[in-house]
Amino acid sequence: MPGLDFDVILQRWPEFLVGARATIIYSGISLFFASAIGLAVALARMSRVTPLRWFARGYIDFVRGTPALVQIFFVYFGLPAIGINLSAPTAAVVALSINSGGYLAEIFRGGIASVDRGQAEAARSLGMSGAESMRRIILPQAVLRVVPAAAGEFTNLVKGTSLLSTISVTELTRVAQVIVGTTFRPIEAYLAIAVIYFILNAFIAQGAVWLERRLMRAQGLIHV
Amino acid sequence: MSEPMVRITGLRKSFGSNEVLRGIDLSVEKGTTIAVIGPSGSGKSTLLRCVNHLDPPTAGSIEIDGEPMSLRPDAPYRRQEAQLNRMRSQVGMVFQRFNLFPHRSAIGNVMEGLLVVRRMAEPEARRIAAAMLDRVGLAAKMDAYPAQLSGGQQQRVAIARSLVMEPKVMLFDEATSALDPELVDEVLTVMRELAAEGLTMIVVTHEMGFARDVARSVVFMDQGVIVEQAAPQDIFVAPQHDRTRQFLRKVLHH
Repeated sequence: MPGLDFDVILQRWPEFLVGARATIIYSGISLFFASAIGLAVALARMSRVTPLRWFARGYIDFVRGTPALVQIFFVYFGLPAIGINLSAPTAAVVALSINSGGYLAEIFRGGIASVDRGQAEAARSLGMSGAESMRRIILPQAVLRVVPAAAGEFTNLVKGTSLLSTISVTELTRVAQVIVGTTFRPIEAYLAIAVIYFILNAFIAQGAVWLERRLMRAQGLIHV
Repeated sequence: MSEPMVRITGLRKSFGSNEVLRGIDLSVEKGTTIAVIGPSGSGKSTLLRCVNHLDPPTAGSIEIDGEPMSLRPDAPYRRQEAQLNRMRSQVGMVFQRFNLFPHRSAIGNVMEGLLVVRRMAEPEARRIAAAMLDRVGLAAKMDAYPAQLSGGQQQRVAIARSLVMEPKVMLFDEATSALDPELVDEVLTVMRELAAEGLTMIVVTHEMGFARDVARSVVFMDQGVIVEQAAPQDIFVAPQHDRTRQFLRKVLHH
């Protein structure tokens, strides 16, 4: 059995860099759209308009009840059948945003529901509309509370980008597969990207801690 | 006699099958304070919450200064909401648990209604809010956050937050019940001053001394109805009903 040889892998560092950059970009763009979808669906889930609530409920249940890989295949391979042709990168972002949006919707809803009812009552008793009360009073408090859970979901999103290798999107996992194909060094290659994924997620975890402290300070909850 | 500031007519409120208010009629004259007393569960807090429709009444009407709090239920939703928001901005409410906005400083709390509801420019709102905090004795605490304030200070900020809207009537929902005993007086003092200045107030309270000294009229509620309403010197000295007598015996001789 040949020994481990990381030199072969390390020589290919520019490709890993390209892969890592792609992973970061797909995660970042998807996080942006997923947050927008998540907030909209969370609000719809609590709407007084019954069809909106049903739609939101159905969306959340569907997204969380089906595999992300199936969702990616559906968007990339399925939609062309009804005339919607998306490039692999676009399909990747669409599928990941829809998927992550479903999870974030429930996280946001939980955060909003955790704000004491007296806050909305105080806001409404001043004459604020429901929307004003949500925007000025409820959401700023909810944001702080959802940071840890939302960071966890962001981590899932970063890991989920590895599924994009199945639709030939160049990202970390795809890069590793290609390198394994020419070097026959699977242990070294997959260990290398595992470390990179881990480092990316460590940054997210640390960023969440930083953001939480920053928000708390901005909201006067800690005084340093 | 002039038009009352608050007129409550035939007010009923049910939560599911539980009827909490069973027909309340009550008027509050301009510039007077009414104290509402009664055992817990009698419906006094629900009465206050129905006045500004935090709990929408099941039946009956609320008028503030001759204007209905809410439109008829067949009016378009948007118009109903607009009416409610406009009317609520004229009715101040002080809660048992303060409900200050924890992410805003004291002055931020007081400015919030001016900025959002009155759409006032920030410098003017800040000036008015600062003056109001000064009035409740908290000029030195303007930039403090709720978590840094004592219960009594928080409640005074909450009072300032309502007052700054120049409400036609203020509702106090057991405003001192959540306070440590030594902090009750600073809040009651502010409330006494407001009453003396001629603000119209409905005060749900367990502070019988405050009811006796400040209220023009005392309402005793039990089981969702007004059992007795009289001037404090009458109701505390010679209550007409057994239920009133029993309640007062319990709360006064402790």
